[in-house]
Amino acid sequence: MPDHLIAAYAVLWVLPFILIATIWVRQRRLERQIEHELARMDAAHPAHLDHDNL
Amino acid sequence: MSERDRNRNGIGLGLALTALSGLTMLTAIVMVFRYAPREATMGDVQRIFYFHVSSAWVGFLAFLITALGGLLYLIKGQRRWDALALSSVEVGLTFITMAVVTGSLWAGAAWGTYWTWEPRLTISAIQLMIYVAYLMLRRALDNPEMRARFAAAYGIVASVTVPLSWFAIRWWRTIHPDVLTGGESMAITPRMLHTLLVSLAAFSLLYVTLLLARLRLERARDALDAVRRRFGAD
Repeated sequence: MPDHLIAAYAVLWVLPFILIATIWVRQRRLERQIEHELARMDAAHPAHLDHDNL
Repeated sequence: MSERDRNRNGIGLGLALTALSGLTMLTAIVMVFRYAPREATMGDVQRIFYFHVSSAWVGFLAFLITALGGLLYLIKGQRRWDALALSSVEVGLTFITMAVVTGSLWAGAAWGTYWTWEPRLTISAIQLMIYVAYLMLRRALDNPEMRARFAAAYGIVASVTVPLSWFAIRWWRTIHPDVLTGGESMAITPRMLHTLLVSLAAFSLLYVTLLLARLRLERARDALDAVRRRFGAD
């Protein structure tokens, strides 16, 4: 198989993988921030929040 | 329906789409390497064409969706249309980068040079920079409403690059092959056409899957903003 085809095939896998990885990392960071903010709110105002609707 | 139920449904749809796009992509790869015939002049390097055309198609589709999202935001003023426009730009940039890189690799083998400043390649490079600038400019604006309005207008104007890139090989003298509308530079057989159509379907499904994943990220960002606003108000 020619090198150019192998390189193109690698690009096909690598670029979407990078996008998926960056989305996943950002999603996890946001979820952690949300949990942190909710914990702060709970500490300040216990039994004040409906977590399901945030 | 609570937000948690909506999230659960969204994850279910995302998983189903991921499975479907994975299966279609696998079929496309098998067809590219096993079903499509070896091209007489270029040999196996021609197989890059299936990835290249499909990723360019999805890039164009993504930028048109961005323009549509921008237009709907300007009309309705709803944040979800801005989220759609932004998400589609990010996914579209991934695919246009794939199209440029795979095209360049094909050119390296077919033309003997990885890059030449002919109309299609030049417009593709400009298009790439325009949408990278879209993301950079968004980050530079702090006011969410102003940012969304500016991005909507920018996304609509930037979408001009899609027809410009599509017609570049028809309007100007160029060495870029015109395969899809019957140009003389490259003829495709029925088996090649089947493979191309399956590749287009696979890449389109991958686009929808990635777009939904990216939209979930925007929803998480909105949820964080909502929590912070509520915490700030208390």
